[in-house]
Amino acid sequence: MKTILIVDDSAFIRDLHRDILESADFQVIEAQNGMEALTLYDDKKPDAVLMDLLMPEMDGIDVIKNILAKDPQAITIVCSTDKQKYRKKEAKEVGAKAFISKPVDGDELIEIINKLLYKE
Amino acid sequence: MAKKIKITARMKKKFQSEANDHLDQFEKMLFVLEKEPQNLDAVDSAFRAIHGIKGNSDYIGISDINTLSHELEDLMDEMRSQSIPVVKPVLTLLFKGLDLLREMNQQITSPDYQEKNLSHIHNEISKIKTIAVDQSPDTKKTRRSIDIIGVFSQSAKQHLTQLDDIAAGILNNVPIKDDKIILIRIVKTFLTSANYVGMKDIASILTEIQKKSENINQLDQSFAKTLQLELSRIKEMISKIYPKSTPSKPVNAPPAPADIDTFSDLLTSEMKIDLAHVDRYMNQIAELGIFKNHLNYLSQSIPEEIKNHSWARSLHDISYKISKMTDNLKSSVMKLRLVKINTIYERFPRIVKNLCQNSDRLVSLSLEGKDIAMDRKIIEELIDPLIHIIRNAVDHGIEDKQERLKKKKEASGKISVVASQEGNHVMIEVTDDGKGLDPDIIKQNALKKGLIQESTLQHISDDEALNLIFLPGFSTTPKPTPVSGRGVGLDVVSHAMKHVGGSIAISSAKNQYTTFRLTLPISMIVKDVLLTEAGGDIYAFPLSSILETIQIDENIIQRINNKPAIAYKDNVLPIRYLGEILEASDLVENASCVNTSDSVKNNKIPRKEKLPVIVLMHGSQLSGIIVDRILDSEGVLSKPLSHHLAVIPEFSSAAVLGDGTIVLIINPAGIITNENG
Repeated sequence: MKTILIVDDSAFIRDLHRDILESADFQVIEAQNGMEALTLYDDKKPDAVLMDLLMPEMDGIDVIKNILAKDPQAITIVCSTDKQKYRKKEAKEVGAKAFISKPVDGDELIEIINKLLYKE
Repeated sequence: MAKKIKITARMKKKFQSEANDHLDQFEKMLFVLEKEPQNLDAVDSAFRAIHGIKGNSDYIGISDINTLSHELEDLMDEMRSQSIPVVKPVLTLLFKGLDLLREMNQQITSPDYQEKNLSHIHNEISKIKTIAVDQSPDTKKTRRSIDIIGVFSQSAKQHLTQLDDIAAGILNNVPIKDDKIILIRIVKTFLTSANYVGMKDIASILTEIQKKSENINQLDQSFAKTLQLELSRIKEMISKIYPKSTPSKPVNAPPAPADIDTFSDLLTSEMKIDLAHVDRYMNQIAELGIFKNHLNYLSQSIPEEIKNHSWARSLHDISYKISKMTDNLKSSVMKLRLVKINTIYERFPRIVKNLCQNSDRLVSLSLEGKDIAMDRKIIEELIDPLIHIIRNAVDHGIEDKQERLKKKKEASGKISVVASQEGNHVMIEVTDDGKGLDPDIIKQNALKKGLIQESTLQHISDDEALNLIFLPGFSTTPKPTPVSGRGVGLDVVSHAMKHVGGSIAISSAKNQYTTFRLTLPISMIVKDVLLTEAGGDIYAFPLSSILETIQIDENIIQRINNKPAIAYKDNVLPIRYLGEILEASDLVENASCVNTSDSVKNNKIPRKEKLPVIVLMHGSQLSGIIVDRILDSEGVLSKPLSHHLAVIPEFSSAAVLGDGTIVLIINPAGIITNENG
C-alpha cells in the first residue's frame, strides 16, 4: 500500500483530503507545518507528498526544496488556493511534479497521484 | 472509483470549530488594529485568518459563507498592500463581516440552514473597494488607452516647464512680459487636457491657479512661490500615474499608501477634528466670555449724565449683541462635545456575544434611546461602568438555559438598556430578567467580609441591603477580560458615577429581575473657576464673574455707611471676608486671617501682609471678597446641588476636583444680594 504525506495547517483540509485518499486505498500520514513535514518525511519515507503552500512559519515551496535536497526523486504535489501563474511556475521550477488548485476535485487528485506513482 | 467529496455532518462540525478559531484570531487582530492602525503584522495575521476560513469554505458548499469570506479576504488583501488604509469605517465594516460570519458559522451544523442576504454588506464592501482602486494609481488608470495618457504626460511636461519659467522670472525680478496673460492661457489649455483624461486632482489644482491669477492685477512674488509649490505637486501626481514619463521613478514602485484623511472623508460625511482644537476653542470662548462680562458691566454702569447719549445707547446695544453671540458660540462649541450614547451601545452586542459563547446561555439584548447625547467626558466615564454592569448581568444575572426553562422562563434571557432624558438629567436603566438579587445573601456576604456590623444588619431594609453591593471589597475579583476593563466590583462603578455628578440605584426581585438605574446630569459642563481658601475650606468662584483679583493692605479698609469698603477705581467697593459671609466664622478668631469687623481695629489678630481680594461682579454691582488664599484656576465639571442644598443662595453648584475633593461654587448673585439684605 502506498503512503501519502498530507501537509496543511488546516485540520479541516487534512481531514478532507484524508477521506479522499483513504477511499482510494492509500495510507495517509499528516503534518500540520513544514518542520513536522520534514521530520515525518525522513521518518516514514512516504511515496508522495501533498503540500499546501500558504502556511505560517514555513512556506510550502521551502519545504519542497528541503525534501528534494535530501531526496531528489521525491514526488511532491502542490495543493494551493494560489491560482496565480507565477506560483505554478515557481512550483514547477523548484521541482514539484504537479500543481492542483483548491478546492480539490477528489477524482482529479487521485488520477494525478496514480499517474505519478505508477509512472515508474 | 474515487469518492466524491461528500459534505458530512462531521465535516461541518470540523469546519465550524476551525472557523471559530480563525474568527477569534481575526477579532483579536481587529481590536489590535483599532489601537495600532500601523501594525502591519496584525493586518497580515488578520488576512491569514480570513484566508483560512475562505479556503475551507470553498469545500463546504454553503455559498453565503463562501462569498462573504472571499470578499473579506479581498479587502484584507488590499489592506495588506496598503491600497486601503486602516481607518475606522473600514474596521467597522470588517467587524460587521466578522459578526455575520460568526452568525453563519453558528448555524452551519443545523439541518435547516438559511442563507443570509448579503446584499447590504456586499454594497458597502464594493464602495470601499472602488474608492481604493481610484486611489491606487497603477490599476484602473493604466488600463485606459495608453496613447492618451502618453500624450497627456508629454504635453503636461511642456506646460509645467513653461509655468516654471514664469514663476522663476518673477522670483528673480526679471518677469516675462505679459506673464499673467500667458499664464492664464497655458493653464486653460492644461486644464482642458487634464479634464479630458479625467485627472481630477490635477484639474482642481489648475482651477485654483486660474482663479487666483484672475483675481490679482499683477503676478507677484507670493503668487510665484505658491505656484512653484503647486507645480511640484502636479509633477508628483503625473509621475505616479505614468511612471515612464519620469524615468527616475522605478516602474515597479508600489502605489503610495492611500491618503488616509481624504479616504475617510470620502466614506463618511463627518469631519475629523483634533480634540485639542476643540479644547482650545473652548478656552478662547471662555476668555471671550470674561471680556463680554466686563463689557456688560461697563455698559450697565454708564454714568447717568450720558446714559441717553446716542453713543452710550449704541454701546449698550452692541454689548448686548456681543453678549448674546458669545453665549451662542459657547453653546455651539458645547454641542461639538456632545456624543450620542449609541457610540457606547455599538460595543454591547459583541460583548454579550463573547460572554455567551462558551456557556450555555442565550441572551437577547435590546438597546433604546440611542440618540440621547451627552458631553463626551461623561460618555467616556460611562463606558467602563456600563460594560461592567452588562457583564454582571450576563455572568451572574441570567441563568443557564436549563435553569431558566426549569423556572418556566423563556430559554433566552433578556437584557435591556434604556436611555431617557428627564429635564436636566439622563437616566440609563439596565435590566435583566435573571435570577435577581437576594437581600439575605447579600447581607450575609457583607457580614462575612466585615463590611457591616451585625447590629446594623438588623435595622436595614431589604432595599437598603441591595446597596451593600456597592461597598468596596464586596465582590470577588472577576476574571479579567479584554473588554470589561480593570474594575473590581461595583464600588468602582459607584465611584465613577459620583465623579461625573451622577448616582446609581438598584432594584431587584428574586428570580425575576435586576435593574441598575444610572442618573447623570446633562449640564455637565466644564466651568472655569478660581479656587480660593477661606475659613479652612476651599471655595470656587466662577471665572466669568470675576472682574479681577487684587491684593490690598488692610489699612485701606474703611467704614462707609457702617460697612467695610475700599476705594476702587473711583468707586466705593464694599468688601467682606468670605469666611464671615459663609459663617465659617468659628475659625475666624483662631485663623490667621482677618476679620473685617472690630478685630481689625482692636488689633486682636496679627496683621497679615497683603490681603487677597476677589472683585466679584453681578450685573452692574461689584463686591470685594477677601479670602485667605487664592489658589489655582481650573476647569471643573460642575454638578447641580441636591434640593436641600440648592436653596442656599450663596452657592450655585458643586464640583469635584481632580484629586476628588468636593468644592462648592459660589453664586455671585447670592453673595452680592446677601450683603444688601
